[in-house]
Amino acid sequence: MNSMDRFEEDDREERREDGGGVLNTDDGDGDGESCWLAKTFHCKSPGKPGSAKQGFSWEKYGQWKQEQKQRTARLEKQLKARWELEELIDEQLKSFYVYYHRAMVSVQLKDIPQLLMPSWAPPYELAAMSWLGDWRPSAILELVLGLVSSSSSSSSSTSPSYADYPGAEQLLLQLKHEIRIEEQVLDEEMAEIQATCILHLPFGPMNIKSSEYSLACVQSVFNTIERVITKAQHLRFKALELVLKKVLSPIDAAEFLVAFEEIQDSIHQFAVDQLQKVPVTLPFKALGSS
Amino acid sequence: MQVRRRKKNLYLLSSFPSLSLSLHRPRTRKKKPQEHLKKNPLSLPLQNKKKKPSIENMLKSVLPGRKKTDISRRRRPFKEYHEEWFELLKNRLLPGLRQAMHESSVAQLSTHVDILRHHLYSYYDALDLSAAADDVARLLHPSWRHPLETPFLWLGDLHPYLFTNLLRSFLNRDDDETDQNDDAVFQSLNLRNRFLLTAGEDKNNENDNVNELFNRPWHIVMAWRNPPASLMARIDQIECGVRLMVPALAARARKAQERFVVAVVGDYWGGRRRRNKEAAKEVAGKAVMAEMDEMVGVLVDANRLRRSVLAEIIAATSVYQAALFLEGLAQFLKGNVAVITGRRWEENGRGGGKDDTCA
Repeated sequence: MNSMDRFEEDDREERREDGGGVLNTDDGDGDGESCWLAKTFHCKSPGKPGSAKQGFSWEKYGQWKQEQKQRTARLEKQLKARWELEELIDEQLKSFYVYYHRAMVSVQLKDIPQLLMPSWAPPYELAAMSWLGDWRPSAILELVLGLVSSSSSSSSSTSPSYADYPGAEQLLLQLKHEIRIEEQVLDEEMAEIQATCILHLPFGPMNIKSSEYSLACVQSVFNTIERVITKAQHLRFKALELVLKKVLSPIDAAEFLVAFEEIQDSIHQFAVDQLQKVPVTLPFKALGSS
Repeated sequence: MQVRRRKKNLYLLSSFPSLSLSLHRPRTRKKKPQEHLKKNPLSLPLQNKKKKPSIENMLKSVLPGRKKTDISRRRRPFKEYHEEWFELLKNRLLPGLRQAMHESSVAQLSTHVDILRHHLYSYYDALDLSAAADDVARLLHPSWRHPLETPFLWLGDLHPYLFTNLLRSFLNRDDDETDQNDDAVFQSLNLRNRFLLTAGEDKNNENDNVNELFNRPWHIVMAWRNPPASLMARIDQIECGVRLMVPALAARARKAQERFVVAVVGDYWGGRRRRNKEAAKEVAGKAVMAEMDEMVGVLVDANRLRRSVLAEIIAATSVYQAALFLEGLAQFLKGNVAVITGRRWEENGRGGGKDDTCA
């Protein structure tokens, strides 16, 4: 009976934690109760019930068996939740894939500025974090580094699952370094386009061509810009995929995705507020907001 | 900060020596600069343009008339400033420079080169001034520029490499053509001039313009032929200087963004699950503002670099070479992708402004 009480107590505690948003597998956190349970579990689990210790009565065995079933059911529930979580993360990753691999074939001229300066992002949001129209891939890794280092420094107070990263920080720093190099390559490609556009765009001093040819010139310059944007999008996806699949456990991946969204949202909200502070009497505002 | 802004105000105005603009109401503006900046963030002090009698005639030809009511307003939106600046470049300064190329007076051409240079400078001064007034975010992603121009903007305006590339293009063109006979040089130059002069004009005038082109003076046509070795060396130097500065500026901008991300991310993980949305927004806001403070410096330095590259190029070249260089630059600025891609895009693309969709 005593063990049952303890069991229930443990159960309640765990549910409380579940309610608090942490998906916690039963890995024992070192206090007396779970140690006791772990011991029991350890004694009883190997071998078949019949061939275990002889000292138990049927009644006791039935009670223990019942306990086992409940525990297994809870484990299964947690596993299912975990599978569900993994599925959700996969779905999220897929949606990122679709978003960052949008078919660029049908891109028109006017879509390029829209990709670089999306109309849904106010100037402060763009200025704060935009790189070729979206988050910097290295900033995504920065976000994960924050998660890993915050959990390793405060692992006792928060969920113990964060402490499972021997060398994760090192790996992330390495990834960040590599991705930053790729970012720099793209930066240089973009700078090259911006620096040589005067030679390629038809209204530069050197080009005297028919209007069809001019249009083709514009189109070809924009095609090179589009290629840079496409590479940037792919790099973003690569960073996300590495983080979600190679570095983080599903629980942490979920936490990262929530954080990613929330941080973006808080920046966006701030930027929108900044827009509203500007007097509407200004002509340039009236263009958009009236 | 206030002192700095005042200085900049004066700097902007003092940077028009050839136009001799003077501050009409300095006291009222100086008293409360902060207040004006807050009221109308994306705006500039309006300059009262007082003309000196000595160059009055010249100014009449290049400056648009301004009404008294405009002068009484102290600040105005940057978009309006940009439009006026652009119109002045397109309709007065560029044609003026071309006209001066045809005339024999070197002094006059030199004056026009100066005016155009100051006009370009004044734009960067205006950018600096507006950036200091907490508008750097909008200046980095200017909504008043044509959307098809925006992919070519680097830290708010043209990439400094563009200036040196334009300069190189004069040299390379010369290299390409040295082996060919002079007829070919004539042919291409005339074709080019014809394009420049007929742009936007009626086809009927074409013949007149072609005739006029043959009159473009020989020293202008030959200005970039066989540049001396000293000039080549100087251009190399200028190029080297820019290539040192640009990566440093780009790195500063990148690091400012990085610090922003670290600040926001650190705060998020530090206080996760404890904070409400308002508090998160406040923290993001503080971090954005800190980043923008850094970006003001980056933008101002980028403008300084642009100004100094232009100054070095003009100082290194002869009046005729500088005139052709500035003509090319002004022509590029004047060029509009929308003209080529058709008006339809402009109607569809510009109507949906940036600001209404995100609120």
